[in-house]
Amino acid sequence: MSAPHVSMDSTWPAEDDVVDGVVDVVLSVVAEVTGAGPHRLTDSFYDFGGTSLDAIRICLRVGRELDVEVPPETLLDSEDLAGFASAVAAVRGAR
Amino acid sequence: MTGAAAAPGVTGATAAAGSPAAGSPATLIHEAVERHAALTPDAVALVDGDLRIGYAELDAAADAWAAELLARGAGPGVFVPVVLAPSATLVAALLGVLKTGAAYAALDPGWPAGRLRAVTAGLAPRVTVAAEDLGGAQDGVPRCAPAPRGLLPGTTSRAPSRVPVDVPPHLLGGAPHEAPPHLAAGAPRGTPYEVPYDAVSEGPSGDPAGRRGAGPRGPRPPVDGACPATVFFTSGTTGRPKAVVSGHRATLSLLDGGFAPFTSTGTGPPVMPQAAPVSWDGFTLETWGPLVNGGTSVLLGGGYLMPGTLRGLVEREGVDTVWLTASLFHLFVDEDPGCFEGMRHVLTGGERLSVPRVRAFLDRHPSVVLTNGYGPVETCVFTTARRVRRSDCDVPSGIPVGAPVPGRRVHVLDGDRPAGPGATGEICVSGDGIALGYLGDPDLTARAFPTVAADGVPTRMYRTGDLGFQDADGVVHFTGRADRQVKVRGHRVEPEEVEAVVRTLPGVADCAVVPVPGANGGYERLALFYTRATAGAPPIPRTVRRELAARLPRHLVPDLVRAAAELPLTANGKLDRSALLRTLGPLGGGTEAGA
Repeated sequence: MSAPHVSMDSTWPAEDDVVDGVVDVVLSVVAEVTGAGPHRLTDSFYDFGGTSLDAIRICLRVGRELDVEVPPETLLDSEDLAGFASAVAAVRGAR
Repeated sequence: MTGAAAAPGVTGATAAAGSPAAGSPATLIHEAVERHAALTPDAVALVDGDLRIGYAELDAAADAWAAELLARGAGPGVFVPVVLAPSATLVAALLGVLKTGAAYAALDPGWPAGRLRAVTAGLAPRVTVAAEDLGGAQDGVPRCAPAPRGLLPGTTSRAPSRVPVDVPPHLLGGAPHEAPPHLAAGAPRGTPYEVPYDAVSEGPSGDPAGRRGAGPRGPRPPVDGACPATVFFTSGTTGRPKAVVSGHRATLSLLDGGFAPFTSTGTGPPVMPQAAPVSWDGFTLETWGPLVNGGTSVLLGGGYLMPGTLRGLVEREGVDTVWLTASLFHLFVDEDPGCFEGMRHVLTGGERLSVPRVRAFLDRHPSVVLTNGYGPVETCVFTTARRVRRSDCDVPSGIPVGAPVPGRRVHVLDGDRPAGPGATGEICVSGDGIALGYLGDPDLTARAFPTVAADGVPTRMYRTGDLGFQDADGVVHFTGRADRQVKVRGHRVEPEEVEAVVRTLPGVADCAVVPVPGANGGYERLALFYTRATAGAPPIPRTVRRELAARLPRHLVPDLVRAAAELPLTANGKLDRSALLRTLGPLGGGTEAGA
């Protein structure tokens, strides 16, 4: 299957409910872990000083919320939060 | 399994061992593993995905690697770069390198290509082990690649050729009287470094006396516990990583020397996950710790160790011992405190431990032994360690890092003299655990490893640069650093190394790398501030970060990257790091950087 597409448009909702739910979870967990925010989907994890430990925490919590396994590399290798949400949605959709 | 009685590779020094626990300690890392191959050939040494590798199988594969590498010039005094992902094949190749008498440098194939090439060139290799070409200056060096499947060597890129002659006779250098005898210029004939390589690599005696497979059949290479075995890489101030060379005895004096987590009395040998980067001494702890004690190392293939991973490993593989950096230990306790269920031993350290997390852990897992350790890589894994007790949570200076572990002695010096009981000075370490030196840097080696009188006896020491004191019980306490080196999330970082690389980027005029303090008294992030050169297109922070990620391993890439109009100075004309941190707002930690 192809990865669900996450719109870069800040005016949500997207066409896909799966992605929609993932984006909400991603943005709220990232805000919770970094203690900053709100973040936009175009933000890079590194723009706000995200560390590998933050990535582990975020991926653990996102994984717990969505009942999927999200390796930290998923976030560390994503260009921005939209890319991360797409990757998480792909894992979730692939189950 | 046949051939166990032939005890491949068990030399006279260790053949008398009646059992792994009771026998005399092995002298060489691979001998310690061979001992278990002879005694418990079918015991599981490695788990790698679905593969279960027994000791005899691992040892036979290591023999095959040794034969291949010997034929390509590996032998005593040679450093072999091994660029393979963490896997059973990597462990077999490393053992094979050691069996030739050479030392290995395990390198992460995921490092930026330029850094891999630079580090490899610094080893002046005669032969490399890598799945793919490294390019650059290594083009002319024979490369052994692993076979597509299994643990064995596959193709070699070049036929055996004349051994290159440009290998420095003693790469570590230093004034001869300060260098270890094996490494000194003009060492007497008969020392391992004087042995002609050809004499080692030939020896096709055809002697069928017991060696299985394609292993070396000739005489064992003349190496002893003082000979180089491992090369670890750590941050250096010059913009290049430092290559720390340690002898076999640095590893064995700890892991085969009575260090509590690896002395199994009444319980089985340790089963431990391997998650640390291969170029660090954490890899030694997680791999040789189990393997020299007849246990099992469970290879995670380079992925992050997550709490869920640990749970699964306890259930499926019987993992009972784990090493976690302090930062990761804290995170596991925060996010999933039950994940330690079923463990016997949790080792942590490298940074100050958080008292609330330690308390939470001890409350939840009273039967799991928690060990806090301290040790720069130059002392190979640990200098000191301590089983953490509930009462340690009430020590005003924090959870103690304990007393010296086997093979290490601690001296607190004020200049070249003992600081005296309870007085603060520089923490220095002597004993079998300390490294032989920095490869290719005799000056730094001489400075960092001086010979100093200890109780009137001239003693070779490693000067850690850590400041602290030893109390009446011999327990070590820290007070700070003598230089800018910091630990960020458990990684040792020299800000100068990162700055040196940043200054090579086009469009950057000057820069400062500043560690950002966290809530726990340690550092959580690295921040980079750079000024833009007037000429040319100024790079934006995201570009700078991407450029750095292509040149530096992940732990050295600054987490926060900011362009600055100028780098502020204090009234004394020094860089004002706290002013820079203030510009980060809440991300800056809000306190003095102090580095």
